[in-house]
Amino acid sequence: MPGENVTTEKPKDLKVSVQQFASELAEKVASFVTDISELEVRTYTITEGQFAAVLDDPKKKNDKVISGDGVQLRAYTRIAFDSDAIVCLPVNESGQIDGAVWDMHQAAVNQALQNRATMLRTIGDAAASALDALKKSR
Amino acid sequence: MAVTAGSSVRDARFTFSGFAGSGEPDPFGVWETPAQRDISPGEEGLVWRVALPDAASALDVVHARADALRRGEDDLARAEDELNALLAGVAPARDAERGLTGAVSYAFSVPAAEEFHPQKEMLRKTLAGLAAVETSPLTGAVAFSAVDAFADEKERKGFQEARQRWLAFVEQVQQMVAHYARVETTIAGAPVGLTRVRWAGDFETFWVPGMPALSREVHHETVNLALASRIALLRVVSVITTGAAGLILKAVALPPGGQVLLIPAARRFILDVMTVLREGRR
Repeated sequence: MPGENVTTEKPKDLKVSVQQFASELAEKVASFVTDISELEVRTYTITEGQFAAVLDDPKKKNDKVISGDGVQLRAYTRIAFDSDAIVCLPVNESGQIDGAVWDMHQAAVNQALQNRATMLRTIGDAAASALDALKKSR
Repeated sequence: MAVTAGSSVRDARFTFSGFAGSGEPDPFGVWETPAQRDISPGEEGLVWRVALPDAASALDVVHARADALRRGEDDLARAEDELNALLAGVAPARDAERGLTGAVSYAFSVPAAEEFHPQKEMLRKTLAGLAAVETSPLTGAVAFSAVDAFADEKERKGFQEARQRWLAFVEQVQQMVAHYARVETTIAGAPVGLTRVRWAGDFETFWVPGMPALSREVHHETVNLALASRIALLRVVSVITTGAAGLILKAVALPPGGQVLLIPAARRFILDVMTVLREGRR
C-alpha cells in the first residue's frame, strides 16, 4: 500500500506537541519577565584571531565568567530593575582608567539597555495581540 | 543609501546559523545560510556572522542590510493585515451550505481578483485538505469536518508535511529563546568584535585590543542588526501564532485534531506573502 511506511502519526500527536509548545512558550515568557530584573554587561579583551576560543565549558554552564587563553575580563556593570548599579572600571597597568575599553563598555551597556527595552515591548505587543485575537472571537 | 563600492556589497557575507533543520531561508532576506565549513565545531546557539571586505565601505554595507530588514518588517505587517482581512471574511455558512455529514461549515472563498490570491487559495486548500471536505459548487465555501482518519494518501502526505513544518518551527522557537545570540564581525578577514547576548539581555562583548574606532562602530552596528533580526523573528512567531489562534477561534466547528494544523497553515501563508512582497521589489 502506498504510504504505508510514510507515517503513523495522527493529528492527536500533533495536538500534544502544540499543547506542549504553548505551555513551554508561556513558561519562557514568564521566566523572561523574572530574568530581566537584573542586567549584566561584561566587556573582555581577547587575543587577536581567537574568537573560536570563546565557547562555554559544557561542565560550567552556569559559570558566567569566561576564562581561556588570551581572554581577559576588563569591565563589568550590573543594573537592577530599580536602576541600582554596580560598575567595575577597567584600568591599565599604571592604574589609570583605560579610556578605550571604558568607551566600548559604555556603548555595550547602552546597547544592552536598549535591547532589553525593545524585547519587553515586543513581548508586550505579542501579549496584546493575543488578547486582541481572543476579544475578536467573542 | 549611497554604497559606491559595488564589489564590497557583493563580497560582504551576512550569515545566520543555529536553527536545526532549517533548510529555509531567512524570512526577511537579510541573512544567508553559511557553508558547513564556516560553522565552528562545538558551536551552539544562534550565530550571526558578518564578514566585510574592507573598513571603508563597511558601515554602508551594514546599514543597507538594516534597511532591508526594515522593509522585511513592513512586509510582515502587510502579511499580518492580509491574514486578518482573510479571517474577517470567514463567516458561518447558511444552513444551505451545511455538509452532507451535517457538520457546521464556515464560508471561506477567495475571489480570483483578490491580491495574494494564490497564497489565500493555498491556505483555503490547506484547510480543505484537513479532512473529507466538500466544496460548495456555488460559493466555493469549505465545510470542515472530522480528521480522525486520513481520507486518502494525498491527505496523509499533507498532514506529514504540516507536521514536519510544525516540529521545525517549534525547534526554532525553542532555540531562539534558549541560547545565546552570538554575533561576530570580521573586516578583511581580521576579527574585530564578538558579542554574546542571552535571552534575558545579558551582554558579553569580546574586543581585539587596538581596533580603530570605525571598526568598533561597525561591530556595534552588526550587533544592532542581529538583535533586530532576532526580535523580528520573535515577531514572526507572534504573528503566526496569533493568526493561527484567529483561524482556530473562527473555525469553532473543527475537531481538536484539525485545529492544530492551522498553525503550520498560518505560518506558510505569512512566509509566502512576505516572499511575494520581497520578490516584487527585485
